[in-house]
Amino acid sequence: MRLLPWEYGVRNLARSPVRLSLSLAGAALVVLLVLAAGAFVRGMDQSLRESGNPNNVILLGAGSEESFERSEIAPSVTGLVQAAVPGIKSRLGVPYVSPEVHMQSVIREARDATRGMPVLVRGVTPAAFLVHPQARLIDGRVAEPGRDEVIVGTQAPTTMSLPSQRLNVGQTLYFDDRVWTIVGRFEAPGTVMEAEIWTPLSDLQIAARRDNLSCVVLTLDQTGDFDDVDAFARQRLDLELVALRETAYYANLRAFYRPIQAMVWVTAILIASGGLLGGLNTMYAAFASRVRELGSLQAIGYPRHAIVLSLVQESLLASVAGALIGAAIGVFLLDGVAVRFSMGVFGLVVDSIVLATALGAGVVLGLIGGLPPAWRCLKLPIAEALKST
Amino acid sequence: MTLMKKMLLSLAVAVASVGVVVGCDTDQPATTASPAQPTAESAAALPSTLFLKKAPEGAVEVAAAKKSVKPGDDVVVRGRVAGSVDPLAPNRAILTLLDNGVPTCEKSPMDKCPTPWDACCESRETLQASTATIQIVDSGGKPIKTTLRGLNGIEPMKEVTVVGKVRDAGGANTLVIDATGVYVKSS
Repeated sequence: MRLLPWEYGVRNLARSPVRLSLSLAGAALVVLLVLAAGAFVRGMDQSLRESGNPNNVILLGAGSEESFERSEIAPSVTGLVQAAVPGIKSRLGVPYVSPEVHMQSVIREARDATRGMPVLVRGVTPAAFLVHPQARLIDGRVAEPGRDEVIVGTQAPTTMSLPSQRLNVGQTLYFDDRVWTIVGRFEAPGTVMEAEIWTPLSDLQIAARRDNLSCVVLTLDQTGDFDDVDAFARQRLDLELVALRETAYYANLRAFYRPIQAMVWVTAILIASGGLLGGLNTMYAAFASRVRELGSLQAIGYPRHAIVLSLVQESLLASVAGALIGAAIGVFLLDGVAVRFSMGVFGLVVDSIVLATALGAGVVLGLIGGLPPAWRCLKLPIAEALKST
Repeated sequence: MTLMKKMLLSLAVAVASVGVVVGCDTDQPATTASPAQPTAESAAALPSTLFLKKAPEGAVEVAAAKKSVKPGDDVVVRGRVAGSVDPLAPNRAILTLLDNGVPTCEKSPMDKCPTPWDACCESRETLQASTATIQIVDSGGKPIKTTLRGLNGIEPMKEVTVVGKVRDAGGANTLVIDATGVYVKSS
């Protein structure tokens, strides 16, 4: 099959530097948009997936399976489950059982501050660091009961729209009618816990005037069986409990956010379609001005499919070059950027899958942007093409 | 490499990328899992005399039993498999029994309950007073590791009559019965 030289397509791109720049910019923007949408969806998904430990089981109030904050269970559950369920992990005699209170509180910088942001405050005991090994203290110390102390996650400033230094050790916050001192900071990479504020369980119960718990989280060892915890909840109907694997809880949350993720994709596709139509228009104009040239090529013996391939090659080169520029910008500017949502904060994730999707979109843009205009320009008989201006 | 081959290679990479993306992320939310069914081996662990051919005499409703029995008593209790969103444990021989006198609200036009058998319209106090836990235990006193769903027709909303002994499960308002006989009323 006789084909046009590769260099012919490359040189044609340089004919109109302005048109080439616009094509590159358009492709880069479309790819950047697809990258941003993909990074958003992957980041949210990953944050909710990594927040769940596969060996953890949560006991929470029946009917509150979709939200810890609505759950209320008796404080006695902590001791009862340890006595009734075998296979709970322990270290040096300390069981991996964490009673917790989860509360959304409006946190202000000071008592007289007018602006506040809702942040999840978690009341915990030291066992929380056993059942949530993703959480690690990186600065200061653990908060002690009875002293109105808190520790903050490294993403808590983003949740509160404050600079990071404002939540350093030694600073204070105001919520639930009292001033709290930050005595430590913790990280929990890739999880929603990183956007939380943790305080001693008893202090939060006193501040919130409640004596019940939101949940009890326990870790099973190799001999432990989730169905034993489930059986405990079914036997003690008076406690109104339900047992959930922690991974199942966050899987339900991921399903809850699917419509939002779908909307993000639909928006990206709609805007990218606008970019595609603009690119089609540009290509139509570019090829239409070369009808006589294309007729000449046919006249000297190049078949139509060879010319179509060359035109698509031009379109692909421009769009893939733009896609690479857009992808490079996306990797440097978007990866790791914190985004606030109702569960806390997650970071945009630009990984290989997101990159492949975005670059694939660039390739599709080049293909779709080049084929219809090329085909249309070659529809004319050779004689008429040679006569056109 | 010829132009045609370059084009085909580029196209193949693009299609493969789309395939990777489409093929990934097969997460399914836990709530869409289908109910567990007993296997032949797990069901064989149940006593062969467990399922009764006719209803035992002298059965009382769950609410009445809760008021009068104490741990160690032999009882015959009648009720429906209901009282929670999932009254049949997926991997243990445990079911929740609801007093027949407690209405389930699926017939009400205002019903917003997740399932017809969870009786979510009833108050906590009514449900506390009208539900019991029925379990089939092994020689060690632990619930046998099989679901009761589907065995001898046991499904949510089925009326069952249970013969067994009241177990001391702790809690002032609990009724846990270690069943030795179960009769499932055919509808």
